[in-house]
Amino acid sequence: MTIWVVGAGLSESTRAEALRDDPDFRRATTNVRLAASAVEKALAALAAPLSDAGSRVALVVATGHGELEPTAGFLQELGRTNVARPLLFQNSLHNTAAGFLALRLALVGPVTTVSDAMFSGEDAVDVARTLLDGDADIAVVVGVDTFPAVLSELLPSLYPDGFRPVDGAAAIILANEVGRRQFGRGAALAVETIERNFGTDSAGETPSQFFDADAIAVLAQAALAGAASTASPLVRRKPDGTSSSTTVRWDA
Amino acid sequence: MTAAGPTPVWITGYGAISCVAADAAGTWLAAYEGRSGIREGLGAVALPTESPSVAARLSRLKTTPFGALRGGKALPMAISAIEEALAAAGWEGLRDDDGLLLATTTGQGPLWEDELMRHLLGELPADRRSSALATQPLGVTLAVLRELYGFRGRATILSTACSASTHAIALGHRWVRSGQVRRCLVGGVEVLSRLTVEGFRSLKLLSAERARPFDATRQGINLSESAAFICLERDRAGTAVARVAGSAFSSDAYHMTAPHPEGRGSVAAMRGALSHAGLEPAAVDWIHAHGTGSIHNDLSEGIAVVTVFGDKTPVSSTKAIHGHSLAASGALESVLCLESMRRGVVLGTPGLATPDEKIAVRHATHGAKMPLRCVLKNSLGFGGANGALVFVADGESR
Repeated sequence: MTIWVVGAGLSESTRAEALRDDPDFRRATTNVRLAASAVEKALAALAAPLSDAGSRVALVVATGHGELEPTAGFLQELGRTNVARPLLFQNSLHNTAAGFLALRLALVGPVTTVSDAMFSGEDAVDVARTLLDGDADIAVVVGVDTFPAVLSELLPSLYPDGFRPVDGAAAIILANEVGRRQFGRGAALAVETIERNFGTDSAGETPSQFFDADAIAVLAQAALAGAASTASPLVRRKPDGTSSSTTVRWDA
Repeated sequence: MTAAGPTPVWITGYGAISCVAADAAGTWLAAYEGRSGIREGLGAVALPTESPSVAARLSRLKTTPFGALRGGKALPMAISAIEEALAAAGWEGLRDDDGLLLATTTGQGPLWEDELMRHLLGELPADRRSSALATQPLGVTLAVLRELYGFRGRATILSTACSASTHAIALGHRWVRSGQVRRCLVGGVEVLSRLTVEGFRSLKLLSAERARPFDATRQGINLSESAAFICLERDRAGTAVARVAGSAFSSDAYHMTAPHPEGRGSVAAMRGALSHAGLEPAAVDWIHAHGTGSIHNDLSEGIAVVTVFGDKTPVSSTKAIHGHSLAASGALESVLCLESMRRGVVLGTPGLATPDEKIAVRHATHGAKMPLRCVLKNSLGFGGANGALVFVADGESR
């Protein structure tokens, strides 16, 4: 089944920072604010408001590390003072960004969170493809990861080859044929196949920036670059030597 | 939601380990006999001596970068349940054209979290760190399972809080039904960690006593550990207990930790699963509820059940026996549903003495013998994530 990228957005740290002043984001994590900033931009590309699809909107969030900042904060405070802070706990779940975005966008259809280390982004696109085959006509797919400064000393052991993750989020709006007709604007990027290579001899350019769900950023960048600038397949080499290859094509 | 799919998805095997028993049948028997594994409000798994099959799998870890993870509970628990499920289904391991779906919120969390806390407090010198700290506690769990089973097929981890393994079964249902994979191993594993225990305590959701789901005096939940896995397949080579006839996801879009007061999302999930199966509510013989024993969950879910089913369909929660194992709970309780279907015996709600009058469901009669042709498993989760599954017995045309 062909799925289409009908909207794409990358997080902007300035916008994510500005959301701190929004009362709705008072309790939001950095992941949530970055994800929301990417989703805002992706939704702006649609020809109709998401609410037009009613319950046939899916949301799939991909995150490798999950909510490290509130997790570290919770454990640090618990260790130092023996006090458990409920807000830090409820914000520590990998599902936090999905729950928050579903609330913010009033999504009542399928909402789920995927975490598969460096294949989190690829998996989320796969899960969205499954949901677009019967459960939904349009899917908001978000990749987000942050790594708090308090844990930076651990980075070399997590990413021994010199990779250093950036804090970032990317969103793509995927649609089936029905969704594309309803929400698309002209030409769209088709996502055809995603292959994972578990070998350690993988080819492909090492990304200059990296976060574990970055397959979504790669698709978002391709969709934003336009037909003339989009290569296929999109090959990503991961820090552990594995890689993925995503076949795409443009359709007018 | 979708129309009924033409391809049946058979359940050919299942396995479980819980705080009351090391296998699926033992867990069911404990629920039937009313033997609870809850101690001081929590349900910890006492790992038995590793069976030969579990030990053989784990021994392979020694030669991998994941050796330090051997000391955790999540892997032995997951492997134990997986080996039981595979043996029951007659699968000799996993093939690369299979699927593997894992649900968890903590993964190998306790190992990681202990070192992380000591690191954050400046109590862990760099030369004392184990490789557990250099992992993502969720992702590494699947990475190790891939390694131990030599598996390179479709796989992922769902971490949608307490409905995660119900979501995983629903996703596996779709993968098999659509032909994306011919077989899919799906389940969850959850272990107790300081983060979850102290976190739920901070939200004032824990009960120091055994949980009393749907009771007027209920005070909260019992967190617990478990692992449970189910084998799904298109081709029924052996005996199938049942098939997944319908499944659905929904979101409350209401609150980050509280369920919708009228169970709006849960109603949508249960109706969606029935619609997916092409069934009316009257076809369901028994509902295994999420039924955590928390004030708000049980009330919301009870209202949702009455909205969809009225007050005639029997409803149970067995969490007073095995506790609430978060992401693994949907898979564990699905296994109890399937074992009940196999035996033709309904489980009741242990701990329920004075039903809450505001929850107007029909509580199931414990131990009632009846053909269970169609059973619904319901799940709710933080973030408003709901899921529901409909199992139909082998031989039933519905």
